[in-house]
Amino acid sequence: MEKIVLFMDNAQDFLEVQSALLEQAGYQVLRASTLEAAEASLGERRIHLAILDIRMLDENDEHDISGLTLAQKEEYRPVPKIILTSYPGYEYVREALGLAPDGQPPAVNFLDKDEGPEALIQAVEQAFVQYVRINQELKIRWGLEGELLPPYLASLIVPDLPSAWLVERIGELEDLLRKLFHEYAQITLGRVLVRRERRILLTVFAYPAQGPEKQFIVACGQRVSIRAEEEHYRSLVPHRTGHGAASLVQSAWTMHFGATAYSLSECPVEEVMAFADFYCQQPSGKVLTAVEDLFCSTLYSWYERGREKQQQSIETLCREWLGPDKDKLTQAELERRIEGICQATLAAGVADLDCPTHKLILVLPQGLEFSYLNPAPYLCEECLPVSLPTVCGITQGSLDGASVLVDRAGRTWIVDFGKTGLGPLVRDFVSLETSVKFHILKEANVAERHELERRLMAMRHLAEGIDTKDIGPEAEKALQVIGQIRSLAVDVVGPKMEPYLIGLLFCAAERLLDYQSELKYTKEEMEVFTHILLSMGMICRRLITREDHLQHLPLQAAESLWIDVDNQEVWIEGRSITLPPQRFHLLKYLYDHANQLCTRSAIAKQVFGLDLPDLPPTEVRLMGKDQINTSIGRLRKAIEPDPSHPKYIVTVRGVGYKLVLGDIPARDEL
Amino acid sequence: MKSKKILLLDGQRDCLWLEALGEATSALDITLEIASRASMEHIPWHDYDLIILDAGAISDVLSTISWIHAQDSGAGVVILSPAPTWKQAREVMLAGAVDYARKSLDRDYIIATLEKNLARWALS
Repeated sequence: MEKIVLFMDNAQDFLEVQSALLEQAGYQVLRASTLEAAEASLGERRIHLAILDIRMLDENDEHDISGLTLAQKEEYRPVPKIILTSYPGYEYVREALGLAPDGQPPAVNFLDKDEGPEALIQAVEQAFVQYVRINQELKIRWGLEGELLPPYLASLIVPDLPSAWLVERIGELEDLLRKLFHEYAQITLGRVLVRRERRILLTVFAYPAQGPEKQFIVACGQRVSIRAEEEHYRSLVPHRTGHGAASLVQSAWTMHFGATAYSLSECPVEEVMAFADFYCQQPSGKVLTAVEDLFCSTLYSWYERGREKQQQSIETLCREWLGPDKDKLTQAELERRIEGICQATLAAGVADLDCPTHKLILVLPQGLEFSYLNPAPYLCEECLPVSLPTVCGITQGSLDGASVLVDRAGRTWIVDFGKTGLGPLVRDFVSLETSVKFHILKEANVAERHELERRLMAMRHLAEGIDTKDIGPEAEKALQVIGQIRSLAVDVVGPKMEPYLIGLLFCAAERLLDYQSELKYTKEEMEVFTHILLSMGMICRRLITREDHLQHLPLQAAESLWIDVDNQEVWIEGRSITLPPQRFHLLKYLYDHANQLCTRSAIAKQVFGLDLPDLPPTEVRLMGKDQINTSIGRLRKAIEPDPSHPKYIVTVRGVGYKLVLGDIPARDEL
Repeated sequence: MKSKKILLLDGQRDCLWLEALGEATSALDITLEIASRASMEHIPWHDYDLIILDAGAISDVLSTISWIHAQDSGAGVVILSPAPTWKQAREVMLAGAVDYARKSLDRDYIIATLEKNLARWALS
């Protein structure tokens, strides 16, 4: 086995002699005669143990504790250290072996140089057994067919690793697994379940010398992020047993990497997969079961814990989701990205998307044109009208297709705690919805994505049903799953749409900030960016228009029903909706003949292009039932406050329909 | 917030040092209790945040540290010595003590030692 020791001492002769003795004892020794050389080695090389002198700057200065200060640096904590000095004192021992500000001792032993080389070698041996703890006897099967070799795993975690350090990091990764599974005789790496943001999730089968196989889900990645995950888990996640519980069993660290092993209760790891894969492979019924399990069982205890109402607006809290990126959220930067997306969308032949001042205009290949608000101004200033307070609690923080594991039965587990924290409870719901729309949903073109958003935007509250008919199968599945997410959100955050929409807006903004105009994207990628932008534009229109925009519209738009013919928008009591073309034409016809009886034959001719008198009576009756009645029914569902008791589109039995509009005074008449 | 509680084991009573220790703990709003080694079996170890051993009064410091750790109290053990040496410091800290300090009459020194160990032990 390689046992690599860093030896730091500014006394060259002493350093050389002691290093040679350690090498004779079987250790590989990296020499460092300066602090800088030692730090460079600690940062770049694979080191198991460090031996550090105290006075590295001036041998004669009793105040020189530079070596001890290096030992106390938190970034070098994973490497066990032995302090070796010519000037021992109890205060130095306190500093070396006592608790540092982070609660851990900087060193594992303290030696006087005068104690001789045997004492040093013995201390080094003891440190390897007690603190380095790398099980060199552990047999490792790197994948069921040897496909998960260390170089591959290292490339997943550090894709931009300089080739000069590849060998070091590969060795370090192997050390990590040999530390994590120190008590076992063999491990077999199963498969990579999730891979993203310099972190991978693996299934591991571990075999002790005696006893049955144990199964783990291992999160492996860069040390700082895995450490943060572990801290979130220990301090925030409700610890429970049974269905949906993921227990942290053990963690291990090297200088650059960390790994945490979780066991999932009641779950054979061969059966689990990431939610994104489950969604793609399973029918919508099973996906709905998984979503329900996630929010009603797995995450339920999280939401019950630490729940409180905060006086900060949802917008302020959501803005924090952008993290350091929120500084990029200037209006100029957003407009630049939006313009870039518009140009790239056109160039890719995805759609005609334009962003004139304050607007977002979409022209679909079929020639249909839609107008929304450019979201840039609304993201930069706190102007989205939603009232306080905001329901907050412990959230997973980044719920998406990769952070949830699902088994064949639809049972779920959370194994990603990187962004777990306190925040608006709406976050997990909007995160998962965003993931479904912009990451998981495939094979849906811009027209279908636009229609999907239009139907979602038509919801007046989160418990309302969504029309999932007459749309492509993938979009239909997405609508069903999102409908489920929204209805489950009601129990946690209440039924109001506005806070939910603000959450969606900032989730979409996070994705928008991924767009880099200097890169080229595939057509499918541009469809997603277009979808993101449309979603944001539609949300802003829904949120802003209600307050500001209404002031500039006829009173009829706020009080009753009004059609904006230029923009093909329909306003119902202050709410704007967009209708599919045929339904719009039907409503427009009734609107143009407001308060007048419109017979079925007139509707058939003017809207559907059919001459009812020319048809046999049986077909006339069928036409009435199948097409006109159905279309009226769908139109009522879109515009009526209570479709079962319509107040606008009234039936005149046996004859036809009438659009009833009362007398609304003009604004200047008030 | 629950106030901190410290146990002094086998401290010599009615002495200047004990007085200084008492003043320091009062200043920090810490409860100080004193017990003898003879009553170790009956001490409610889990009640304490720190346990102080007077190395000048206890001959078998190492075995006392081991015994206290075996009670799984969750408290940090601090050794105070009237004549501290680096070898004894190493010995006791490798045995599990979280600190080894001079047994001092300086109230500020005592306060600094207690504050440091209470804060860092809570983190560990």
